[in-house]
Amino acid sequence: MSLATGLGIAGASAGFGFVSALLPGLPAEAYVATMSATSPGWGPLVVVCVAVGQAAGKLLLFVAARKGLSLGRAKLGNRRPEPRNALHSRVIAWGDRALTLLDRPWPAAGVILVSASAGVPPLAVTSVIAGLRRTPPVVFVLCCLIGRLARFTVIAVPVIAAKG
Amino acid sequence: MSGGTSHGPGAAVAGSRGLPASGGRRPRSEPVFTIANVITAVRTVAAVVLASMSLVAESMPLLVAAYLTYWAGDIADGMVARWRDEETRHGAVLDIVADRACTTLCAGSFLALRPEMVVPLVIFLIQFTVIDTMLTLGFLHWPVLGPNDAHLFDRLLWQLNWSRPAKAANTAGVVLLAVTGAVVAATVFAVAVTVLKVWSMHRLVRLVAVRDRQEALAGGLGPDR
Repeated sequence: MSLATGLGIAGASAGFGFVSALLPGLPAEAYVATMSATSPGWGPLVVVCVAVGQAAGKLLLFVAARKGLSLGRAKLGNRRPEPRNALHSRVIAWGDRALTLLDRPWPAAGVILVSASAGVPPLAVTSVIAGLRRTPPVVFVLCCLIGRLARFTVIAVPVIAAKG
Repeated sequence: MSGGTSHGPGAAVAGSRGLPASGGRRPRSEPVFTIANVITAVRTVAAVVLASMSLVAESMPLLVAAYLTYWAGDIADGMVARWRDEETRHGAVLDIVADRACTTLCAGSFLALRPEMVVPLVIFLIQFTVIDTMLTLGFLHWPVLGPNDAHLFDRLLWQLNWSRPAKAANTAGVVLLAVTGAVVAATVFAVAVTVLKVWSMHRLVRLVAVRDRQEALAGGLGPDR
């Protein structure tokens, strides 16, 4: 039944990643940490599948923005965090400048990688703005996937190591 | 004819916390196939399938995935319903029924994997699938959209049962204690929540009785003496 277990975990993780990519209130990081803590052996599969699900979800945001589809009442592109202190406001300003680079493929790749891995600018915002600009979809989805893989690996590895 | 004191359930109906005769969040003509309801259906199928696989495979990782899918889906459907202004009474009832399906199978699988947890989990299952089901469906006595609106007819009941901290503690508390292996703590918690639910049920029944008497009197249909 190991194959069934693997398929179940893969499906659940990809589904969670996809839904959490669309609903910022569901932190995929908490899912990765919990699954890695309770099932260290399945940690790598969880990381990969959540990252794939997240990349797919963000691609949906990207395509929706590019096609001009309605995102309901979500105005992700206009969502600006309130600065909490001077450092935070500098990070936000840096993020705003970075988003202007999304028209050019190579700088766009760097911005998306940082956004997907470090969360600055927030990946939901980056996805929508990249969709509105001329960012190539392949560049977007690859960088999104690599960045998310890195982010979730950094979360899972210490948890798995502590359990092992 | 008000049956309660200023702090009792009668006051909750007649006082400022209660619903006026035509007030509250009145149900509209309700769509059934909303995105929120679709999410509820999908998360229920996913969690039930994962919990069933966990039961058959005796796999704790699948059970954890089932619980996370259930809890995350439960948060997601509520979030989307509020976000898209799709809160409906159909959706609230579907959510309540779906929660019982997910919980029953997840707890059953948990029991198979950790039989030493039989006492707290059985108490929890009886409480959640019977007492809490009746209690949570009690919102149907009022013209509100779901148990999240219970503060419109009784703030104390809402705080103890359907506010966010209460919902998190009541549904996840026993399971999380059971995961840690603390049998006694999980049992004590399960009993405490059951007592709270029984008391809440009693309060709800009184609320309904007082409300019905008031409506009968207002309509010139006083109760027989």
